[in-house]
Amino acid sequence: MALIEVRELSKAFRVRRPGSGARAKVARMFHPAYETRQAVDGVSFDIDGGEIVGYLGANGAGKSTTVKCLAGILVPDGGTVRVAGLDPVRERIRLARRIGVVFGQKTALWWDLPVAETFTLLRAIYEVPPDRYRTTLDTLTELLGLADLLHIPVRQLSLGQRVRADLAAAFLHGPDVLFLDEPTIGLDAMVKSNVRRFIKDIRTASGVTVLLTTHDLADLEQLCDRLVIIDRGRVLFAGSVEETLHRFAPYVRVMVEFAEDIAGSVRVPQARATATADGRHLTLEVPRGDGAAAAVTSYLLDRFPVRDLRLTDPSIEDVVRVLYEGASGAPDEPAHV
Amino acid sequence: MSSATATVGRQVTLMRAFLRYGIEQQTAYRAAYWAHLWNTAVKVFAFVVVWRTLYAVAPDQFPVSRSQMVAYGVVAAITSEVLDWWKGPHYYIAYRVQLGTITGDLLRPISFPFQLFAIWTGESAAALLLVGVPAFGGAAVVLGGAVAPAGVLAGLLAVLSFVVSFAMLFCCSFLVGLVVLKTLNLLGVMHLYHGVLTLLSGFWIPLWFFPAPLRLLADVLPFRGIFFTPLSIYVGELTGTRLELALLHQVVWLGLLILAVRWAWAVMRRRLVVQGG
Repeated sequence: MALIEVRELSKAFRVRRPGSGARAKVARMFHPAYETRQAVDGVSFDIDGGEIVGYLGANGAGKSTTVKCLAGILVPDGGTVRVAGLDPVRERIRLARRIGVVFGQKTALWWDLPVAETFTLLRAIYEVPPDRYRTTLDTLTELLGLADLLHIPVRQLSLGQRVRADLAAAFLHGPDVLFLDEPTIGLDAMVKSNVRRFIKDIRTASGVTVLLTTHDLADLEQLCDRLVIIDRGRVLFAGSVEETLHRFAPYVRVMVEFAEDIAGSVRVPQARATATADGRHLTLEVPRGDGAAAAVTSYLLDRFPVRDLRLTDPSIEDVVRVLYEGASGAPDEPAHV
Repeated sequence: MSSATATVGRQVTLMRAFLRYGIEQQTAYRAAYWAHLWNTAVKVFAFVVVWRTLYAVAPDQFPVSRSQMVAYGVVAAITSEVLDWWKGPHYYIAYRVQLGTITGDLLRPISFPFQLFAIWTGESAAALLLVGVPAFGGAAVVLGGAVAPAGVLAGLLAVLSFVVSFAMLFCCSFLVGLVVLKTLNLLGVMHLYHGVLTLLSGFWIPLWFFPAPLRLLADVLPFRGIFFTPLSIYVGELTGTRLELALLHQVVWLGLLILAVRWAWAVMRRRLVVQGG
């Protein structure tokens, strides 16, 4: 039986429409105008116990609203939601003991409290037995490298430190389900890697179920068993990570800056040019996997005066665009500058 | 252990945790703490000067003695600073809604109103220990017996009345704070609320001095139970049947306000919008 069941979930917000121009703005003070924005529109999916499921979408797709409905923060307008067998609205307090939530963009910690005091307060709120609390805290401190942060007030933590403290806070009471809303947003590569390793380790150790919203394809590739893609509040696609990447993001990008102008056609086997700003810059699409990116990089470095070279994944916006347009073909054209 | 004892034990543990939270908050910024203490001393001084001056001008206008009036002013100044009522639960809700960080409060396995009550109780208890006690001690050293309650019983009843008034103030502020769920900005409503509270609670001016129509209005509304009732008990102006009726007024209003808080939160929760994604 699914641990998270979502059926036809919908949530709309009424937002005020400001007038344009001073007169209209003043008039709106007396006669306000509103419009309804459908943030989530009939979303359905299931997640089984122990799964890590990626929940993808561009900005404003409805990811965070879905998470807030599942966590009992927002009250849905329609549909049904069960998390760990509980109704998030009617049984919010019981559910809160079974879930942990991290919002990458806003902390759930108390701003002026040192991290250790925050954890102590959470222990009292969640009624975690002292022995279990000490064991869990020791484990989390080691896994997340928190030892040097415990005495520091939350307001003085860097973003990466704060996210690690938030992750520990979300897991202190031993939840069955973790909702991670963009936990790696804005983090540098090293901290991202630590966060991903923590999520993997904690799932292996505890069997926790994770719903992960992200913009980062690398999060999905390294963490998720499968994923759900939404856009404008609706589910566009649900499937395995391999299938999704193969069909909708079958390439990685190689962005090259040359040390001098390169004129004419540049043939790069296995790569396709997607953008050239001038004679010095080139963006290539290279098939994912099978060492193609390494071969292309090596080819470029051997034959051209390369000043800078970067490999990136396609953005979520690219994936969504491909989903709308249909799967892209394999890159096979020579690159041109 | 019976379930009632276990529940009380859990609540005590929780309140102790929030007291620690309050002490952390009060001492988080060194300059803010000393400014708070200094501000309290200045306010006490101002109240004493004002009431002594007015008393000297028209003593027959006062239904209490000069020292009772001074005690009223000193305790009013200190309790208002301890409660920090202009920055109470309504301010907290507005701040958290505007930043979108109210999500953190709604993830905890306790009801939102109770969580705010626990936070505010922790902060106020810490302020009482760290600001109220030193300020009252200082006032007692300078002014002597003038700041003492009218008697032991009056002192105890005043403490009881202050406990009820604390809960009343929480409920009023919480209800005002919920307005922000509709308006997304509390500033205008907050000014109105502060004005009403300053006037009708008896914090600045005891209700004795109000003209009849305003006095009638203040007597009916809950706000007099927040400062005027406990302060009048403290200085011994309220005794006997009038005292019993005043306490009854507080308790009845507290019951109504608790019901209003529960109802309003159940309704307004549906309107919650989390700003900032």
